[in-house]
Amino acid sequence: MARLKNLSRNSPGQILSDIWSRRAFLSLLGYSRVKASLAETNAAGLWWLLEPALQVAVYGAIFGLILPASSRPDDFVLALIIGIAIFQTYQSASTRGTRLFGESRGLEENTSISPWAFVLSTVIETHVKTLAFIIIVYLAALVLGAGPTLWWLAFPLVFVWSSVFLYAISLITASLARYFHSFPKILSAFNRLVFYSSGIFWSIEKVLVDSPMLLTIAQLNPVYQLIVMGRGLLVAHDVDWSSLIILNGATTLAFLLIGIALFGRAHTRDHD
Amino acid sequence: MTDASATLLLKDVTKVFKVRERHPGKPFSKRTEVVGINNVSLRVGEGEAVGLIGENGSGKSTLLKLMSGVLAPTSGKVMAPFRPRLISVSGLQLPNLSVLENTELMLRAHGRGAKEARAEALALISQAELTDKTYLPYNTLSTGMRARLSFFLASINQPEVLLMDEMLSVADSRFQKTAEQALRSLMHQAHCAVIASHSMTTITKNCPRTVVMHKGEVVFDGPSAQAICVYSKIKNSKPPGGQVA
Repeated sequence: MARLKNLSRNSPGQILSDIWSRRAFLSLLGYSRVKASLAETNAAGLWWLLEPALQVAVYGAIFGLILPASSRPDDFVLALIIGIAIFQTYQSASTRGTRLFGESRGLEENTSISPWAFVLSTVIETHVKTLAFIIIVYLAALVLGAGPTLWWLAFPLVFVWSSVFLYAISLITASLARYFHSFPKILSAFNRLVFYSSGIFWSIEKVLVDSPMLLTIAQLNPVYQLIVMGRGLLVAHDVDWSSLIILNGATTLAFLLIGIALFGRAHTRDHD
Repeated sequence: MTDASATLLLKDVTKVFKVRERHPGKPFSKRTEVVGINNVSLRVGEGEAVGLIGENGSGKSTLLKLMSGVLAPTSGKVMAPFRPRLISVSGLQLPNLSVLENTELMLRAHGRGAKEARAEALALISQAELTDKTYLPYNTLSTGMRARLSFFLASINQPEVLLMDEMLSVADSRFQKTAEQALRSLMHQAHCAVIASHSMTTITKNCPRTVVMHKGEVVFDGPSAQAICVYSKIKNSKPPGGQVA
């Protein structure tokens, strides 16, 4: 008979090995959740692409009309689409995180999969949705005459790179939703704040040129950093990549550590 | 029985839920604590099958969730050499997807490859007598139909420690006979089993030992025949619509 183990304690090694051994299933679960969200529409595959395209069209039309040209980023339309695409990955991971515990409870009971692993499926779900945005970005770039370059090949890598940040965000929002029942309501307001402060439709450098302190704070926003990375590959190639990667790596690590600390306590909290 | 010989061990386990009370007409909810399980100690040995009975709200499901590791105890320890698997009706998750897609997904969760999952899913759906529902959305299945499918899904990977919650009571009598046989086979192969049920027939047929739960506490742990008598007394001592006297 094997030795008795305390079931409420899982070592980081056990968690990582659980995630690794279930990676195929977690990917399928993320993909299936997107499929399920579209299952009741006609031509589900089409809506997967059409929904983000409509979003981009609406934002583009609104901000294209109301924003003065002096505050817009260069190559406005493409920069806007890239900004929306990257913001959506953050928004999807954060809102899906708040529903993580409720949605994964049945599967957790029946399969003994760790809740840490289910967080990965929310990141994969986010990436499946993001794929539609990547297609839209490429199509828009072609339509706008930005010919394909080798830099284009690296654009999806920004989303791959953002996976750790998205994992951290899901950990944090899942935990906070467990602690504070009103958190999902607060999150939607907070995400609006992130939306307007991430330089999606206006250039942070142009608007905050006279407020260096605010500019520094805005540049510490990881969503903004990811947007700069995306634009750096498709629109403006004058990005200081080494500083950007170091800064984004450091902020992502900080978010990950906060996420791990919160989730470690929250996942053993009561289902109330 | 010593700790070393146990396959599932609960030491002074208490589970307190922090919940919110909501009163009509009051704008704010109030934090309160509900004791789900109160100081339960239990040893289940190798080869044992233990029944778990009690009224609704007595703590059976909470105890099974603690045993499976899905819930963490507020105090005390739950120990087992393997991660026990709780078999319940709540496994499948995506109601908009078809019965086949959900079944495949669960098989993939249990480690099956893509190709074998498709073939096995079709076989399981047929075994659960749901072939005509294969391509319909999962949310078109009744609770009994879901229980049938979940039961056969649960039996695909032999759990080392089997925990089962009210699985058979929602199914019709014809299916219950088939499921009883499958259950006996599962229990025979498992290192140990704990089965919560309101069906005294299921309990007496499968479990020589039964634990009676009442208000989150173990009030009896012993031979099933005696446990059923204790449980009957608890039920009979409860005035209609009131609390236990």
